[in-house]
Amino acid sequence: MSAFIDARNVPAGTTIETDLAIVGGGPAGISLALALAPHPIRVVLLESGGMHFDGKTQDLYAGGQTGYPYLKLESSRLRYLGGSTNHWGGWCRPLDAIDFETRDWLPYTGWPFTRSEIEPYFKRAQSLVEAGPWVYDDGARWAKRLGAPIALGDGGVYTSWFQFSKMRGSVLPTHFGHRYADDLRRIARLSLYTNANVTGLRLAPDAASLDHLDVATLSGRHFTVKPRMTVIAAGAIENARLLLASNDIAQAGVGNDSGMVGRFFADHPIPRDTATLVMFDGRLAPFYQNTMTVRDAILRATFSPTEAHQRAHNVLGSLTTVENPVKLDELGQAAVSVTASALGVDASNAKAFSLGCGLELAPDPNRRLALGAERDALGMPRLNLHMHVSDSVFAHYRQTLKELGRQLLAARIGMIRLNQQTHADWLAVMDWGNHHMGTTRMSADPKRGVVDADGKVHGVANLYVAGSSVFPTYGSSNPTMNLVALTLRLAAHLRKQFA
Amino acid sequence: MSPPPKLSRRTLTIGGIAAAGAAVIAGAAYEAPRLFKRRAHGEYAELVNRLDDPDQAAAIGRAVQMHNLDSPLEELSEADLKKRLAKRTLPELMDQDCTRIETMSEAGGWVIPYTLVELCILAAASV
Repeated sequence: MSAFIDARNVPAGTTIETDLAIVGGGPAGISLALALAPHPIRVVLLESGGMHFDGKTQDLYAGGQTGYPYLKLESSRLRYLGGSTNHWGGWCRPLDAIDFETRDWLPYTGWPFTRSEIEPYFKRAQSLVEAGPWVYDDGARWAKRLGAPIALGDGGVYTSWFQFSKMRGSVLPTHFGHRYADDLRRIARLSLYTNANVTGLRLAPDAASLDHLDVATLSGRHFTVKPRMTVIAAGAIENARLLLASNDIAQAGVGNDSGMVGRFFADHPIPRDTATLVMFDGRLAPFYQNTMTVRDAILRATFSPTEAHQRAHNVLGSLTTVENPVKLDELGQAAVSVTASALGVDASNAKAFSLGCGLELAPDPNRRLALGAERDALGMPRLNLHMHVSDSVFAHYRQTLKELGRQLLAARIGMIRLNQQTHADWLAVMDWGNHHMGTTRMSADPKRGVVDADGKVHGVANLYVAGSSVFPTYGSSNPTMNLVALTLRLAAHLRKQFA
Repeated sequence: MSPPPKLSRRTLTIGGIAAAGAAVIAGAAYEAPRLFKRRAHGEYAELVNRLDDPDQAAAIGRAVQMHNLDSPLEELSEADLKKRLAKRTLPELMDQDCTRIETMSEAGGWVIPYTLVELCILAAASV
């Protein structure tokens, strides 16, 4: 039985030796510690926060921003045990095969392996996020008693399915810190330090390996962790910050010889009210608008572009959700009436719904985190984020929505209105998924990425990165379940390294 | 238990006339909007009147003209449209348009088959 150790009680100047240090107690760090539990590996897990939100610790996240409007850096993530699972919505869906491919119409795309590499880890990841049995695109069969999916027929858009992390009571999906605290305490070889902020990754003089970690508390204690191997799993923003700020030996920062650390920052834009869906007969199965529990699975249907459609029309991934019923204005009523009548269809019971979505961003090296001049309470440089979103993202999505509209009309069951057109329109309805990705991207080529296909930092023998910061291409699926699967793959690799 | 009241022929006749009258009034009320809908006039009337409601179609046509999102519509050819509608019914042409995204158009954001948008533009010029 291990105990959680409050780092504020560790004597100053202490050096803690261990086999593996994990920096960050979010979904990646906790999944890694749990996966290594049965193995004879001594693990130190360093978590900046405690078991609950603390304003002073959270302020360590603050930073500056330029470019396209984006969420404040301190408000889009949470710095205590469990990390951002403390405020996630529980949406789960595996990345599609195309998300791993090099798409020749989209620069910088492609993972160094195919989806089949992480598939063996999906089931365990699904279990850790407590999303029930693996259903996803078999959802129509599972939810048959609730109604039929929209009969879209042939075309570029299909009904795809999300699953949800288990809701306790009415609202809470799995919060990794609270859910797995007891499991972590039961791991004999694990020492979990709370209030322990890693402030430096210190390389050996030849810069070829990591020598030790500097750790500090907000109460002023400083100590050292000397691991054989280290995994940084502090989220896509802090992972980049730690690498960039550790610039005493490698002047551009650790793993940053090619200047890739902090570039390619990504999130999922989730603009609201993107379109209006009209069903001529007014019927829509309930799993489009709400999550529905079917046996042990919580399901919700969405619309996705097929891989063939993405390839044929060079469009990005997207997931379209049906939101609220809406009333049509005069033009809308005219459009529905005239179109249905010209098709020879009765639309006297037509109902309209607003649509939302989650969009994939194209990889962009200019969407970048860089060190700023300001420092936080621990003396660490704060970050500046330069955000950039190309209008082509929305043009791609309009193309997919238009295809959905075409399919509805071809099936004579409904139609669609594209509600946003101009740059200003999209900006006015913009929101974000808080899905930070891409800043320590994975590539077999050190010139194009920060970590290799195993998650190891290029050029540093014993330093790894876990989490969605290594995603070189993002897809439109929510990252949590996927990053847990990828972390389990890393755990398998590390076990071999320690064997 | 008393026997059911007998209905006289007179009562039955009056009832029948009343029921028929009610049906005529209800039918007229139901069809009134259709009966009194404005029909298109002028050179495009033959085409536009294939639509049930030229007024509503005209509203869509005006929305297209306002946004002018689809430049191919500038090349709208009434003769070509007439030719197409001579060979096929409107629902058939709609079906044909709906097989390809390239023949879908937008009217005030509404995704509508190209042929229908053409008719709506003509309606805007006719009512």
